[in-house]
Amino acid sequence: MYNWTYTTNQTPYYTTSISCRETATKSSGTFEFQSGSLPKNALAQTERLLYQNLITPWNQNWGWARITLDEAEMNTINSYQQLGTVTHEVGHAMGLAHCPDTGRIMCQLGSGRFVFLPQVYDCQTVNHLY
Amino acid sequence: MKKIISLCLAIGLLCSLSACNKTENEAENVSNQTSGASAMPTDYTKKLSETVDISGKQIQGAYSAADRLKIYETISDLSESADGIIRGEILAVSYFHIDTVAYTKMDIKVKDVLAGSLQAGDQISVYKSGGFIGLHAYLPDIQERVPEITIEEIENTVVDVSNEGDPHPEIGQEAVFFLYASTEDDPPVLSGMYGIVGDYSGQFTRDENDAFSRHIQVTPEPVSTPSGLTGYSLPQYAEIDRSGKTGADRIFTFEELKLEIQSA
Repeated sequence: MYNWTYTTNQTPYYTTSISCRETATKSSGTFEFQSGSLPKNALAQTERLLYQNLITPWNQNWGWARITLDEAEMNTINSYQQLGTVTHEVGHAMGLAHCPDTGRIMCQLGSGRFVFLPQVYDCQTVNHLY
Repeated sequence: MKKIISLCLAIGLLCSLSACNKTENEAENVSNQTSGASAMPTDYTKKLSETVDISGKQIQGAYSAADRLKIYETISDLSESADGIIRGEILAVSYFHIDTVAYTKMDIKVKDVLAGSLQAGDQISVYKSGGFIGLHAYLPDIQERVPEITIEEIENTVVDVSNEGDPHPEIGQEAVFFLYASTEDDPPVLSGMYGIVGDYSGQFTRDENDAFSRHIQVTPEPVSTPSGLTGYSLPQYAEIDRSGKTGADRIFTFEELKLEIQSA
C-alpha cells in the first residue's frame, strides 16, 4: 500500500495523491486482505463492492474492496513477484485495470510483468482518477 | 473522490499469507447461506447441485479481477495444460462458495471428446469462479460493518460476483471446455470436479451462429493526462470487438477449433 502512497522506484520519483491510515474498525475499512481458495492459476483477486448497489466499476465509485490471496499459488512465486502481485491488486482496488505493458504493475504476472512496484505511468493513472 | 483511503488491516496481509489460513475449507450451497445473521455450521450433507433461488432476492453486485500466473493466449497453450478437452452441453447450473469466494458449478453432458479419456455421453461437473453467494456468506461480519442492516435484509440479499465480466452460464448452452481434473491438493468440495484451464479463458461457448468464442476482458482505453499517455483505468463498458483478434481470442467454427486442438 505504501508503495502506492509516495513514490515509484524510478527516477524521477513520482508521488500520488494517495495517503492511507490503518483502522481496526471494520465499518470504517476500505481495503481488506484475506486468504482464500482461488481457482488454479489465480494468485490473487480483488473484489469491489458498493453496499446495496449493483456495481459497475466503470461508471460509479465503490465503497469497499477485498483482496483475496491464494496462499498455495502465492507460494509458487518469489518474494518480489509476491510483492508485485499484492501491489497489482491494490491497484485494482483503487480503480486500475489490467494493462498489456509488461513494464507496468497492472500487467498480469502471466503476461510477463517484470516490475514489482508501481511505475510512473501507474501512479499518473491513479492521480488521474483521484 | 476521496484522497484519503483508510486501510483496514484487521485481518492483515501477513495474517492472510500464513496464520489465518483455515484448516478446513467449507462450502455449501448458497441457498443455505442467508438463513440467519449468526454464523451457521457448515452442513456437508447439502447437495451442491441445488441451485440458488434468487427470485425475489435483492441482487447486489461485486466485480472481481485477478492476477494470474499464466495467460493462455493460444489454443496450443490451453491444450498443453488440459487433462481433457470436450464439447458439452450445460444441463444444470448451481452456485457454491469456499469461504467467501463464489464459484459456479455446471453439470455438463459430454457430446464430443477432443482430447483425454472422457467418453461421449459422460456427465461431469465443472466449476469456475464467480457466481451468486448469500450476503451473509460473502460478508460474515456484515452486521459489524453495517449496524443498521436488518436480518431480513441479510436473508434477502444475494451477491452476484462477476469474474472480470464473464457472463454466467445458462442451461442448454454448448461449449468446448479445456479441463483439468481436481487433485487432492484442492479443497475437498472440489473433489471429483473439473476446473477450466485459465478459468473463462478455457471455455468457448457456442453462439446462435454456431460460432465458438471465449470471454475476453474488455480492453480499456488508455487514460490521457496533461503529461501524455499514462495508463489504463477500469474500462468503459463496451461490446467486445473481436475484429483483429488472434490466437484463442478469435471466433472459431467447431471444425476450426477441432483442427487447432489436433495440431497443438
